[in-house]
Amino acid sequence: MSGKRRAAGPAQSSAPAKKGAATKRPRTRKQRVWRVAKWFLIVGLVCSLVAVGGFIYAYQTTDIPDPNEDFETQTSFVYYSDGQTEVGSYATQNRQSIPLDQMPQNLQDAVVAAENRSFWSDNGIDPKGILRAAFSNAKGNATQGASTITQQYVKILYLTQERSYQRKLKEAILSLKLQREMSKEQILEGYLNTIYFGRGAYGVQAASEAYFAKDAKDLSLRECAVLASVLNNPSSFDPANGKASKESLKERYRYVLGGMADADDVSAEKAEKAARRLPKFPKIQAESRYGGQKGHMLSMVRSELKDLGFDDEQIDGGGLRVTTTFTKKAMDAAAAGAREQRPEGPEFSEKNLHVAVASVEPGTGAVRGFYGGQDYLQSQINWAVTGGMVGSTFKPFAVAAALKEGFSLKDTFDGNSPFYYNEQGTGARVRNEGYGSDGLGTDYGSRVSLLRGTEDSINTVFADLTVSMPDGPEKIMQTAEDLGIPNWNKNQAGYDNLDNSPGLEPVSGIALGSATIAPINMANAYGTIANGGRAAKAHVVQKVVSKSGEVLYQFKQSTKRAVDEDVAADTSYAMQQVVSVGTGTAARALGRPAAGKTGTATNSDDDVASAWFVGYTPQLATAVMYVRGKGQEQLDGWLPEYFGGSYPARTWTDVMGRALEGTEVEYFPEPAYLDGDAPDDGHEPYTPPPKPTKKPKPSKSDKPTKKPDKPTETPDPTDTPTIPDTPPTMPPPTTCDPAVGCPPEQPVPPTPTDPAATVAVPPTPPAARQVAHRTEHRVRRG
Amino acid sequence: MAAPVGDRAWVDPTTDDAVVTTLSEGVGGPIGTRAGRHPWWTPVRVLLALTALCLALGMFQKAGCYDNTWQDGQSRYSQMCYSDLPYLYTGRGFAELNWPYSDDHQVRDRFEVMEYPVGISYWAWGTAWVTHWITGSPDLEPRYAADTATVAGWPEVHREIRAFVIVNAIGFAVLALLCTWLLAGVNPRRPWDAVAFALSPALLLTGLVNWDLVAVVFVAGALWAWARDRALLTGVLIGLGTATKLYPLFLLGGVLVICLRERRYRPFGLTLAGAVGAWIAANLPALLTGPAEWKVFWTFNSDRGADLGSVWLVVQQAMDTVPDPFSFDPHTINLASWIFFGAWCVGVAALGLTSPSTPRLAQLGFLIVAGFLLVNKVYSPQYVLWLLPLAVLARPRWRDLLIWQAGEVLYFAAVWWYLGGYLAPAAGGDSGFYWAAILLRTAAELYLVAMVARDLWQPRRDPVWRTRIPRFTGDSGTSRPMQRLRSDSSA
Repeated sequence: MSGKRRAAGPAQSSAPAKKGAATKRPRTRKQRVWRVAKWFLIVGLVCSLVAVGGFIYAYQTTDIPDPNEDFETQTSFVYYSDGQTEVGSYATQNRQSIPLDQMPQNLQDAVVAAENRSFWSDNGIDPKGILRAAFSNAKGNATQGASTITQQYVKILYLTQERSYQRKLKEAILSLKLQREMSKEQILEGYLNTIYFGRGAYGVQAASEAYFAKDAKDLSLRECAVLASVLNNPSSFDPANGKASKESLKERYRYVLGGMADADDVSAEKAEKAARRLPKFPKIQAESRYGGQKGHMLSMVRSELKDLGFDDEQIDGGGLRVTTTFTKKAMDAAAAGAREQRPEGPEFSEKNLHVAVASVEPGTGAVRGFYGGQDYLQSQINWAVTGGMVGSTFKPFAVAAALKEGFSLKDTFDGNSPFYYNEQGTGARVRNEGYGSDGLGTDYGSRVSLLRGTEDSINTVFADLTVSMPDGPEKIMQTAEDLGIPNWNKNQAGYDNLDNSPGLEPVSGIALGSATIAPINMANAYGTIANGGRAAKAHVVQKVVSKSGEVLYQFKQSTKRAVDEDVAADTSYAMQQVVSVGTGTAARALGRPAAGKTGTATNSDDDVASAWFVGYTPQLATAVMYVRGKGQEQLDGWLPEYFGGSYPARTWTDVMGRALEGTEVEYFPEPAYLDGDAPDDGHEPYTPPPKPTKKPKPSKSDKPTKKPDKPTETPDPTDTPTIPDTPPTMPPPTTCDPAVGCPPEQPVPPTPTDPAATVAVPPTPPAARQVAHRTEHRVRRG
Repeated sequence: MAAPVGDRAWVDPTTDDAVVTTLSEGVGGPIGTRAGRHPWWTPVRVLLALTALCLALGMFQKAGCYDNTWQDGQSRYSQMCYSDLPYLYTGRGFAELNWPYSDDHQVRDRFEVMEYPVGISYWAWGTAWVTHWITGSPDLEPRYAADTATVAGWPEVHREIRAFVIVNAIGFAVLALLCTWLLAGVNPRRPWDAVAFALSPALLLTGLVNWDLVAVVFVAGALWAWARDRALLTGVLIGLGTATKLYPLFLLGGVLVICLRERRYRPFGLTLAGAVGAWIAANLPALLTGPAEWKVFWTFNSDRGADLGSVWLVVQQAMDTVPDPFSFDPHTINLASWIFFGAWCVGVAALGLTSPSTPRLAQLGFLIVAGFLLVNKVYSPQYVLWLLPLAVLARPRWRDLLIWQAGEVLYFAAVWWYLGGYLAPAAGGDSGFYWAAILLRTAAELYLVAMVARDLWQPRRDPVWRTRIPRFTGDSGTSRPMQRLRSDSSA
């Protein structure tokens, strides 16, 4: 057409030609618009046809699952770290279907009042709600609740772990289909027979047995209202979960009854009367399969699974296969050690004397074994995660902090008791064990080395040490936290202290250990020192696999540098000395190189309230804690011996002996004898008068492992700055080859060789050199 | 002298380049007017064979490190066979096939994020999959239980590292062949210009140091597409290149200058749109799966200080005295280098707009990228690859290219010596020889910059301009060679 016009153009006179050219423009634009519109139309039509066709196809091919056949919850199994031996399982399917006419009217009304007040009148699906849920779920937020009972039912029918658009689409279609093809009664019946009520109970029949030990048809109004309230969030509304849950339940319970009165299901005064109190909850016997330590294990695993994002429904009915870090050997060792070493006699029954044991693998943080103090069926308190005041077992963290700040093990502190913080003999003071000249604790002299202070657990040395560092309490606390001790979350109460250390605060007495710390965390923090200063997170879940074999979670090891390798080596050396010559010599009976620390803590009445021994070999770190009654009661005068070096150290030795049986004897790295630039004066090592007969020993010539590794220090030549910080080919840190012959005991300290010991000159130049060496190491770490 | 000989459709180097002419004396002198042509060995085939040879020699050059899987901290410098690939394979989680932008906190606790733009990360991830596949899909679970540094020392992982390097080297070889082919096609009358790329000592030595070749192929592709007047494709390739190594972005400046001169705004719009669209599309997968991880490239580069190879490092080390440690604040360098680079770009634009003849994209691209590198915070040895395809087309003269690459090769040697500690003065202090190498390399680069700038001032000195088809004197350099060829054959 335009060709014609153009062809005709030149024949015409100039004016019309101009006009022709002028009219051509709008036409082309119009044409262009039309062309675009046409394409839009065609594409749009095709798309909508495809969409409609797809929807019809999807609708036809989606079947409504039969709740009685297709919906089966699956038992989740928990295994030891070998992935084979079973620890136990979570709630096997506990569900009985009953027809709607056996469900009390009150219950039906209560559930409608609780979950979906317009259930009988609405059309079941809420497209906006689906869209919103689809978005927020696919974004990975917490699963958004579907708003109506119909939709909740749809969700139950597709109980899977996946959260995908595809599943959401399926849900939308299914809810449409349900709404069109099933009556409201059928939907409610299916819903009440499949919904999870907590306590492993699916469906209202199992729930009334689990909560009230009776059949559903016999439930009272109050009981109906409780069940209707609980199903919204079983873990936060089950009154068995503590006071807070009970309070939340009460609130929801009143809301449900109010809703029933509003809907005229019950009279207002009847509802009001019922709302005044909760029904009685009969004592439900805990299942015997939780007996012994298994209940403790399963509850630890459950709580970690929840931290990992699994919910109760998945755990109880999702058919998970959970591999834990526990080994049967370490679990049995912990239980046997605690049983064998505790004092005999009826007054020392498990009910009165709690012996907690926790064994953690250094380097991975894997909890290999524990003993919670008593049978789960007797008490659900697991003392290995509840813990107690740690006393002097906290001191190694102060040692590490001091070494980090530039003190050395040979630097000296005040050993005379009492030690006054203001150095004026007034105000707050710290005293040692024993009586001494003044009846206020043993005096060790004014110049006691940090090493001796650790060996003999001298309180005043650590008090002096703490105030000799600028911001000493904060630094000690930071070091403890870096090593793996959780901080104090003041808003958290309860018996689970795996993520909390009540009382851990930067006060001048911090090193003396007034904080309450879980034995698992103590073992883990000591494990960090055993691991050369790299901290791992304590954990019990190794791997979670779905029923179909899909790996839903896999623990991946990662460690963080908490203290330098040299700091760890020296701290470790001080603790080896505790075992060799200090307060922990009972642990020598292990017959392997071992390091550890004893501890006792006193309560507010100045009674000894806990006794500890925490220690490790290179393969395993174990904490042992003895507490009485509620955890703060008096041990001195009750236990035959109450020092950490007695029962706890013997228990530790017994447990470690069993847990390590058949494994190779491993050795610790040599101490580094760090000697940095001390942050405070007056702590120089005590120099005995020169003894001319003593030959100077070549210092440090026997430490081949400390050579800084050259290639890793060099900057990266291209634009990638990082190279793995340790060369993979690095030899193992042990300097002693067992094959060639090693001392069976921890290689006893070759008397600290200090140039100052032989030549009485101020030791400043070597110290400066040491600082340079240390900073170099720190740079390497970067 | 510069016109094609006989019935050939291309310019022959023996009659075009003084160095080649001289060299050809040994084998009988420049090509004669009656010379025939080999029926199978077309220039492009010869070029591809030469590229393959060069890449093979490059792999051979890394043999010393390959033999000990890059574990020997000293020989990787003494034998100059260092490469980032082996270390990043274990250090960035490729040994466990992690998506580089995974925001799984366990993965992030174990591994640092790739500090490169997405293109390189995708490439590395893809090659890691191939590596695992050809090494028998090892079971990864045992690795999760061990420290990453420990895993990096396992013999099985060493085997993978070597496979990873091989997979990448083969991938790079394919990319380099593609590059040569594209460069040879930019100006069909001058296919032999690509030989300076194919036989480049810089390509041989630095091709395997990092993943830079992935970006280089996009630059070559952009030059190729632009020469064919395919603005949108040019833009897409620039966008993909920018998503791979940032610097291809600067080609847009060259495109802008050319379009301004010729008042062709539509091609520029298309190029820009293509670049932006392709860049966004390429970044989306990373941005959606790990926004925080995606950001690492940007923060990493803005926070880093004066680093190896840069003039900044020389100044910093020179000003650093013992009692008074000196170091540039990264943001000072950022600011200063952006100001310098901005001024440089204005200068290049002025030169390009006032030049008697429309400059070629390769010339403008070379000048801008060179300006960026001169003041960059880090100037790694393999960054020479960024300039290489641009340089060989901008100034196809062996003499100048060899002078420039001599500086680069000297620096290549110097940086390994420096890192290996061989240049540390016995008396202590800073390594003057290393400084000298950096400065010499900069000088060599400035020499080539000067040569290219002179060609812009005086187009008759530009070898490419001189061998253009005389009938099209007013034409814009190589920007429309096809059209020119078509009219040529029809004439």
